[in-house]
Amino acid sequence: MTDPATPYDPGSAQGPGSAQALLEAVDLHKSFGPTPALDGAGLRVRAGEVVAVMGPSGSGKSTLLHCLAGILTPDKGTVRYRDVELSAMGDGLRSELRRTDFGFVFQFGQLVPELSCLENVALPLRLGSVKRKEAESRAREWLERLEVADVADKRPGETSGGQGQRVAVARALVTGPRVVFADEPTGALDSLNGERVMQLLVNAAKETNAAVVLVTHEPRVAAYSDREVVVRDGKSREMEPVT
Amino acid sequence: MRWAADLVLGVRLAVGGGRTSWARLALTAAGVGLGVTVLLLAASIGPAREAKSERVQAASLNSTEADTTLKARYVSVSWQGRLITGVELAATTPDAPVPPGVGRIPGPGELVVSPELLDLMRTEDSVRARFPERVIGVIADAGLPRPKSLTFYAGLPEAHLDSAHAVTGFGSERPPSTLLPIYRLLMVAAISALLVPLGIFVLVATRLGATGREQRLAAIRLAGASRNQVRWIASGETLTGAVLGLFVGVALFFAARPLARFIEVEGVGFFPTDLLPDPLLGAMIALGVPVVAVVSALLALRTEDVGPLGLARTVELPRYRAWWRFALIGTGALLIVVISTVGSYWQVMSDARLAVSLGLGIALVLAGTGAVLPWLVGKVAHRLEPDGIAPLLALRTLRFDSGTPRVLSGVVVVLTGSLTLQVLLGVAAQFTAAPPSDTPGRWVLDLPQHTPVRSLEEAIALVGGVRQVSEVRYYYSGTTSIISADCAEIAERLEVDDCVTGSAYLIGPGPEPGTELTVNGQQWVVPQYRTLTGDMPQLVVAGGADPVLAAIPPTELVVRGSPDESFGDRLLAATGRADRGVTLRRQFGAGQVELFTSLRSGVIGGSVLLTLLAVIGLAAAAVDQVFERRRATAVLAANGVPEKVLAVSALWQSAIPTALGIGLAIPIGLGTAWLVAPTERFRVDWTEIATTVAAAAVVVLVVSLCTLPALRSAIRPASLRTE
Repeated sequence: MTDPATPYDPGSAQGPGSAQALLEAVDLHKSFGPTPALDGAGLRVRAGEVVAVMGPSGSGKSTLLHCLAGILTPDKGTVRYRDVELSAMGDGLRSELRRTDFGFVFQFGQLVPELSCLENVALPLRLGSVKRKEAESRAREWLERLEVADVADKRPGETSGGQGQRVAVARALVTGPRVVFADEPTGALDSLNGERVMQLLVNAAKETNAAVVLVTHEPRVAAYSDREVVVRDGKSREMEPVT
Repeated sequence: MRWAADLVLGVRLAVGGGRTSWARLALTAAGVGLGVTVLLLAASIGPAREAKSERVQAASLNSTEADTTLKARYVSVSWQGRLITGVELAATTPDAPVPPGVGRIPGPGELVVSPELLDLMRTEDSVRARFPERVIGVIADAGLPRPKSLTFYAGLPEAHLDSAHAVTGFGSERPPSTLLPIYRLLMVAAISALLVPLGIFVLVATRLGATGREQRLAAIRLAGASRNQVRWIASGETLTGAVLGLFVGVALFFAARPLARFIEVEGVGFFPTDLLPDPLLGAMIALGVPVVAVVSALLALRTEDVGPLGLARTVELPRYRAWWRFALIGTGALLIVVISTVGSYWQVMSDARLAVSLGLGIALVLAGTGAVLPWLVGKVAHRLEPDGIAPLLALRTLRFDSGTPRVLSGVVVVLTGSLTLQVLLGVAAQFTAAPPSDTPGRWVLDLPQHTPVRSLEEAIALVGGVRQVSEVRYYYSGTTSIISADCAEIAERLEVDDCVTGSAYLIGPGPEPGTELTVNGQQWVVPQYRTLTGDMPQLVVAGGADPVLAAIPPTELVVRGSPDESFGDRLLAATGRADRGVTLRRQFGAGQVELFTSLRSGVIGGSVLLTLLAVIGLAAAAVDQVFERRRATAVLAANGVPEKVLAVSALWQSAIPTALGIGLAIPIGLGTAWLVAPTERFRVDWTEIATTVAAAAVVVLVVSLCTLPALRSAIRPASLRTE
């Protein structure tokens, strides 16, 4: 274990404890006012694996994902990414982590409507000081891999729901993240589009050895995972391995 | 240079994004632009007044004791209450200077006129009839105080050569005319009352589309931008709108400037070239508007934490930060009270530093009023629990949305300032009212030297409505002012009823009866007199046939006739035929009345302009609010909330802050006026106040009604689309 105060270098090839769990949450508690959302939940994610977090509405699965990603700080418990505690990091470092090591695919609200799809995908790279030309070139490659190169110059509002989600997946993967957090990524899509988005997301993640933390309540979507964790009343429970 | 890239990304967000972001940018630019235009106009008033004053001084006759080159005299003609002033002049040396804006000195029977007078002469035969001379030219702009000046230069008739003054040329360095302290007070209050809401509207304009902006910033935070980066991005976005608004404002200002030539309100007008902002103030506007816009955006981000999941607004914040809002009002009021205690308003207005401090006090009170409103609305929205769905929706929205109250703050500050100014205008009007000694129908004609009095009296006798004409003669013996007039004039002037020919009255110290004085080169014995009290020492004699006094040429003709303004015109038209040098003395304080009128016009004009700006700002912000909340509104509509309920809710959303704003504006506006104005002159015209308040309420209601079409469009199912 590393001292939580140890400076963490996001994006470095070798991090402390890389052979073990990439991301680990232990005994997380989180309340919003008087309402408890997490009550001792925990989760371990290894490099390259796809973990589905399942549970009914209001069970705390999205809160668990937000805590794992460092977007929310738990009231109690620890989240360690490559053996460094996230709550010990400042906003700048956590922002850098989101830009370099983490990727996000949400149900909606993740794309900037003013930017074209290409610019949206290039955004994390641009924020990280990658030159515009290079950033857009890499973004275009990802749009091609996700079969949405034709919408590169369109704005999100001008694309279909499925296309928009694929653009979001491209944006999540363009920086080569170690973990992709997906919160109901197919929730707003029809089953055909949902299947395709999941195939592309999981395949692309496997190709880059990125872990995926997938929050869903749909067993059909959870079927793409290597294992499932169920969250109920703020507590998590490991399910039998998916066959 | 990471910050520069983030700033550029902000600019990209502002200009990209198709119709929606362009509309938002256009709204911001229009709002800021209008504000900048008014600011530039305000910054031009000083230089414009200076330019006008320089032209007036350059055209004034210089009669120093140096070598004289001209004979000249001021003359005037009145037409339908409009005074046409001019100079009759004749060169006495070949190298005599010409007046500014004039090609050559007109000879006898020749006339050079201002463009406005030329127009009037072409369209009105009665005006043409008063100028029998041949028009040989038009006075250029350099020779006119303002574009619509009615003025002329005429050749001096030989008959009046003796009565004209010997002058050396044109241009004098007279000290600038001083304003009555109450007018200064009015101006200081007006500047504060107009500039504070203007600042608020510029700020509001830069915050248009803030909700959408926060959502965008949240998406960018999710992509990995730090708080610091987001601040730069937001700055870039705001800066784009502010800079674009600045350009729009400058363009509007220069586009509107030529119109100045055609606009004159109550005798106040400027040439387009006069309207050039003071360089320092111009630079302050150019730098200040973008800086203030960026600082306000950054301050807003300090109280609204944009996280990767969206906006985490600290809803309880106003409860803890109410103190500074009241502190603004308190500090302002304290400043006014302290300054008022230092001396009377008269002393305060004579001291520039105290006057500026008073203006600052008023500005602080007004700014505080604007700041208190959003807090008050938040408080009330938390307390009220209405039964109706529409007010409930409105109150719940107002709890978390400071957009509408923020915009209405500007309207409330305009209203508060207007109420203060209304009372101050009333006070100034009391000071301006003509004293009771000015009897209606009493017209005083000042006569130039060597004027043909007999011809004038014959001409006056032909004017319909003349009841009586009195000759008044003045002579200063070196120790005593002697006034000789008939009993009708003396009775009116001194309010005595025992006057008969030969009666005399002494006011103040004077020679004993029987004292011999030299009057007009002859010996004159002071008659027996009755002593009266008064301010001006003088010996008034009903001269009658006294040969010594009768030999003094009359300096005034007092005509009693109709009180109508047209009577004065007819008098001057009649005397002008004999001698255009005869001038109609304006009633006591008439000059102040004119000055007050032009000041009042300025204040009212500024208020109207600002109200217009308020309406535009309010409309833009209201539409922006509807647009920003379109998804929430569409969801409500989709869930079966009737359109009527949504519309009424939108009206409630404006009505609640408006009612609270009026509740603030009335006591604070009147209270400020009470602190500022001399206590004994403080009066409130409740009808006027009620009219102003009702007008403000109606404006807000009408603007809210105007947003209903936008609301109808917002509740379409298409608004439910997310990205």
